[in-house]
Amino acid sequence: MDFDAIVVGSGISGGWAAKELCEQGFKTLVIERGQHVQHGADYQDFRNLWELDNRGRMPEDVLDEDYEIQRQCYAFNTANQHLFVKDSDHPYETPEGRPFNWLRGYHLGGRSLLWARHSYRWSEMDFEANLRDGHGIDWPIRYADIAPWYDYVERFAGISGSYEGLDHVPDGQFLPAMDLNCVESAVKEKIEEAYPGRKLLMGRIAHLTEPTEEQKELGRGQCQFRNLCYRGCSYGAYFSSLSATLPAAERTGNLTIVTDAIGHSVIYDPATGRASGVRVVDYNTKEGRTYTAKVVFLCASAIGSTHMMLNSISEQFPNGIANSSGALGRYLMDHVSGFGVSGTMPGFADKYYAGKRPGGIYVPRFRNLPGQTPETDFVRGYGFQGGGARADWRRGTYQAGVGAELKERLRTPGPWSFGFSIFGEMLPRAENRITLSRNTDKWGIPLPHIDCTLGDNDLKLAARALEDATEMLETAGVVQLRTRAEPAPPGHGIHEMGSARMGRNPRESVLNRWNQAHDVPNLFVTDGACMTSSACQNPSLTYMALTARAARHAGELMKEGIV
Amino acid sequence: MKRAENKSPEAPIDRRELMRRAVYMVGGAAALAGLEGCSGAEGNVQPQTRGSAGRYFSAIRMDQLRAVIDVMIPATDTPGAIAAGVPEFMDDMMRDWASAETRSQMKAVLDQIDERAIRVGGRSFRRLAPEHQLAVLEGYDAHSFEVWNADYQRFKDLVLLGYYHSEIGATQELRFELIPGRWDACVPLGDMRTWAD
Ligand SMILES: Cc1cc2nc3c(=O)[nH]c(=O)nc-3n(C[C@H](O)[C@H](O)[C@H](O)COP(=O)(O)OP(=O)(O)OC[C@H]3O[C@@H](n4cnc5c(N)ncnc54)[C@H](O)[C@@H]3O)c2cc1C
Ligand code: SF4
Repeated sequence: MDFDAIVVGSGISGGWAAKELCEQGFKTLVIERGQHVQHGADYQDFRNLWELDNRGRMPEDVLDEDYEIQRQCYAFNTANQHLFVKDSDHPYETPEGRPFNWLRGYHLGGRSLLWARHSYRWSEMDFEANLRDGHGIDWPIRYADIAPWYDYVERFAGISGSYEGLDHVPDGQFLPAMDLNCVESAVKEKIEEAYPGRKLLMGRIAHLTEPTEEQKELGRGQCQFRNLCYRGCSYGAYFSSLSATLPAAERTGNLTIVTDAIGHSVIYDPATGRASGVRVVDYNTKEGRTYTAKVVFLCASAIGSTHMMLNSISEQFPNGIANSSGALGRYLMDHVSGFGVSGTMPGFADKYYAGKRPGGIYVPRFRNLPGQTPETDFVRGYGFQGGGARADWRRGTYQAGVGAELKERLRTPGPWSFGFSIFGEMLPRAENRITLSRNTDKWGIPLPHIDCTLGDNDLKLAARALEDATEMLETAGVVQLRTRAEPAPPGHGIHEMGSARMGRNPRESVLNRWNQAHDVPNLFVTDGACMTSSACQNPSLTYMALTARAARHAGELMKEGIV
Repeated sequence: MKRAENKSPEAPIDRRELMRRAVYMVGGAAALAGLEGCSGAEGNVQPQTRGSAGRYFSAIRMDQLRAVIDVMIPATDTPGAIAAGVPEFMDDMMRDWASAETRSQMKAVLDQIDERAIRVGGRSFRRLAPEHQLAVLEGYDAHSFEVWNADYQRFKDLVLLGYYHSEIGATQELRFELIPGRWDACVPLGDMRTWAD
């Protein structure tokens, strides 16, 4: 046995699995398909605006040739090009006319370096949703199962936020919240007055507004309000695998990391009925090799882990490891997103801000809450992200005028804008599915084929969300509204999840209540693949909590000699 | 494909950047002032003189570009686009960033401005007297917004980016802080200038 545990993937989930397994004393191997990224040295966060390659703009021909999908990510630019995959190197298939925007980065730390850091708990309502309205199967856990793990991961990761006392987006262990700006405060006041029960709050974001001793010990520092987070943060002021979980794992002395190693499949041993290890293909040499361990954690992101399981074929599991239910690959979800409304907020001409806050506001779900009369045309709900800002020099592009007059005009900030972008819950549907293609990538691995569309409820919910967002902005006094009415294709929310769902019944789910494969007891899947429904909150905090919980459980099973 | 290609071309950071990293990390925002002197080197582009070709544009095109950009963002109580190296920035962007289509759009804009100059003033833009240049560009700009000339809008966008995200544009004309170190969410505007970013 090479290791006690193997963790595939080093993103948000993999980092947590590594930390928790190492801290329990297990020799742990992290397998990462991308390159090694060094915290600090590989970030461009100390470059001035005028020092960025092409001022941040990716060459147009390169975008066309290599980044057909990734170019659609708002965060992508020359300063973090190395944190996004080249689509030309890492293709996947979708049926014609049914796009899926799979936005991702393959490197040490995964998308923990790219995420927008919004972190919200799920609530009882979310874990009961499937049972209540019959879409999808029941979650095998409830809020009480995960609440202590939310406490645990929040304390370590550092989430700044305000205490609101809402049952449906529960409070957590927060560092001080960042302040709303003048216009956001005004909008908050108007909305909360006009719509009792609705709230506008500062987003709960994974930033150290007041680092704890534990966080400082890991070399993490206070947020400097630069909003350069998408370049990586040398201060370690936002949570990432590189700033937080991997250093914690490293200092135990139990961690081994191998990069440029593409997880090919999980090896199944029919004699023991267990996974015996992982087969990898070397990124550079394309040669195969294997690593063995007592337990295997798949944390390669929802599609990555499912893809690898589908590719793990044996006599026992001809359709993918741990797939006796046939549910593997199915019930893929994202959030209904990429649409919203924004406009101009009159007044406040004498107000501004200083510093760059690295995140915006949040309007938690307010439809179909427990105790409310349910909506008749859709189930579940949606929340809004967004914020207010004053127009800067960029408005000059859309206005006539040249010369001294132009310069003088742009010297002063322009009008305030305020907007909402919508994140809606997407229902789990069997036909939204990942399968293996007959075509292979350059390492000989079958491509994932992703067939996923928004369903009837998803679209109805989207239409209503847009009406609500519009009405709320009008009520708040925002004018000249500009609407993006159409949700983007799934994937665009970058909250892809499901496809190896948890459930009570092994005949209809892949994982049990501990993220442990029903069919293969030493195989755990703790990234978004495990999700049984999608709620409408950003999901990564929930992956963290589930991962830490599963790793502790696996540790207990190992110590008891059960796996 | 080699792994290194996936990295940005300048990923191995230079010594100056390493030093800066060390100082900023320890001193935070306060360290900025002390280090000002070492940020200048690559920020201050030396504007080229008339009659020299760029990396992409010919000498004549460069002269025309300089003339247009000088009128669009002139030196006033702060340095303008010429001092900020915007013509050289545009030229670099044509080489390093623009697609063939974008390049021909940008050339088309320069051609359109020249056509107007010849129609109104009887000679190409770069040969007009400054006050006539301003009149021609104002007219062209206003017309472009009336007919929604998307090529010109892209051109203007690049000029503004070139200026306001140059060291001069960001720090002398507007305001810029690499490490604010604070978030003051609601402050009186007073005579504060626009944040560059
Ligand atoms: C721009 C952006 C903004 C976002 N904003 C938010 C937000 O505000 N809040 C939120 O909750 N979420 C947000 N997300 C989503 C968030 O990043 C993901 O939910 C989260 O990173 C998922 O964690 P993960 O560990 O499952 O996957 P990842 O973080 O993607 O990590 C997966 C890792 O596995 C590796 N891997 C994949 N396949 C293999 C293989 N076969 N073998 C070996 N290694 C493999 C990858 O290289 C990667 O390092 C955002 C994402 C992006 C890109
Ligand atoms: S805003 Fe905070 S977390 Fe983001 S890059 Fe700056 S210091 Fe780091």
